[in-house]
Amino acid sequence: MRNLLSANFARLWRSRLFWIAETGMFVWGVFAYFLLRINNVNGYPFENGNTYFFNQMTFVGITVACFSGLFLGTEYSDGTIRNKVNVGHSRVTIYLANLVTVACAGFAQFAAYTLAALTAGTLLVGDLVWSRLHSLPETFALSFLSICTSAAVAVLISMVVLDKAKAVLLNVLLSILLLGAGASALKGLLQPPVTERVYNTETGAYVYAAEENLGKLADLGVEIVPNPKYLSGTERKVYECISAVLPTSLALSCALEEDENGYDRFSALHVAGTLAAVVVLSGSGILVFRKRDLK
Amino acid sequence: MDYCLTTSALCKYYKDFKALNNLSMHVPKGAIYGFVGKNGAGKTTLIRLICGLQLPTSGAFTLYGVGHTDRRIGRCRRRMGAVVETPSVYLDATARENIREQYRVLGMPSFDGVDELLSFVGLENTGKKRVRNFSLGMRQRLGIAVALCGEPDFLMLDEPINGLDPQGIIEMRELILRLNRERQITVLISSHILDELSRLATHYGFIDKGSMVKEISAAELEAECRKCVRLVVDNTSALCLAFDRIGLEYCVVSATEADVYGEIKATELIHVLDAAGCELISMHEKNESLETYYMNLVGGGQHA
Repeated sequence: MRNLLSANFARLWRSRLFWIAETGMFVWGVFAYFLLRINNVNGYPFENGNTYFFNQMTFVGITVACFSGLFLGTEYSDGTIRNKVNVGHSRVTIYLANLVTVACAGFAQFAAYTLAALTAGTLLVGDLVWSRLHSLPETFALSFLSICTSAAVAVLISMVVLDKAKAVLLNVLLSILLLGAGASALKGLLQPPVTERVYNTETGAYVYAAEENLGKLADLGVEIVPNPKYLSGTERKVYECISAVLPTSLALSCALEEDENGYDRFSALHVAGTLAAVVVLSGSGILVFRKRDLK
Repeated sequence: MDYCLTTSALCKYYKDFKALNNLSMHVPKGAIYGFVGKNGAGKTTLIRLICGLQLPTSGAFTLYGVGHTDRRIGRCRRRMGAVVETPSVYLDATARENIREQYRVLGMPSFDGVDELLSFVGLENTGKKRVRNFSLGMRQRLGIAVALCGEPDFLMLDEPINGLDPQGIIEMRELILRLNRERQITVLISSHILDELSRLATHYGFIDKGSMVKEISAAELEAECRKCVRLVVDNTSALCLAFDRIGLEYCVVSATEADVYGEIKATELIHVLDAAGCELISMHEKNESLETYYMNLVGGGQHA
């Protein structure tokens, strides 16, 4: 395992693809804070830069999927995976070494974006970058867990589909599909209990139909309309379970600024579900890869 | 005799197609084993099974006496190198980077042997040239160099001269001979280019439709293929007496047939046999090559 990791990381370091991904993530980070700066200058001030700090997590599934398909697919297209099997490395260790490598490449992409956020972000929007980044270690830890899940999905496809082009295509399509599914699940769970409305009061201030304002709205005699899209009861539990095992759901949760509308984005169920997804996906991948005829 | 590799009733089925059907073979240590068979006979399938790239449907094989289901087989595979079909090398890397990568896969303590290995296969001057830009011969040699990284005792080469130009074929032949002579590496070469194989092999295994048709040493094959004159006589006992008297090398094939080796004039032959009371019924020259031997073995009709 150690030898395989050493070989994989040496290849990763030499890989043009890896450095393109790193540069791309850094540029994206700079661009995101540049847009934030423009918005601030044009009179659309943001309270903080949190939205952009973990913005990368929205698309991490897709970037990891592309990277995995191309990086691991090369082992099949060039036939070099045979060099590992020929010299007696077990398929389980080959699979796990590849999983660790792809996950680390994902962490490196995360680090590149974060570096851009910290440098360009601080330069462009100053303290906003840090203003409300609460529970930072927790978000970082769960971002890493989310990257591991994305890596588990991507490595499963890359190791089981022997054709590089097919593996890349399947990886990208599936990651987009999972992103859509994760976003839908999260959208359902983030619905407010009442319909969100904005009221112009006598003072000219805006009052939102958030929970803390309900009393004020009631004082004004405004009727509170329950949100028909708000999930409750069994339906909510089902959504929570689906969201917990979807690899993209945790990633999107990390990209959120904070818990919204009472939804605990980092609930124990969410974390346990994501961990279980990593184990089940990797276990299934190893089982299939062990029996796979390599050419 | 010690064997590097033995297989016993090895089978590999792809759905209904029998790629290997009860194949049994024995590769002696120190040999250059020519594995001969036409396209689709099962040569590559066997090599894939030995390398662990595929699992046999049934049957067994041993590598250095260790069975394929034994947990120690992985360690035995470290003593083996293989180039299966195309060379397994990273096309975007240089020759040196490929060798270093394989050193890492093997967990070699240092990269000290890289230069020597590149020189051994004649790729020491490739510099920063990417493998993508190598000729086929250079890639083949690099593939062998990668296979040699772990200093194996046993090397399996699948069609190593396919597609090479005459210069490349000569270089490959010399490389294989050097590996066998200088490093005492047992080499298994699968090929259907019989002429080339006959210049290298010390042992042969002929495979057809997934089954081993015959295993034979080069010496035995040479004896079988030796140029001779096949005589049909009425009395081989008299023939033996006559030929022993004049010191002629011969071999009795049946009660009425014998092969005579060496140069002898027909009139002299008739005279000697007549003097011994042996009637010569017919005679014809027999000059079997590896090619005709193989065609006779597998029934002909199709080219190797």
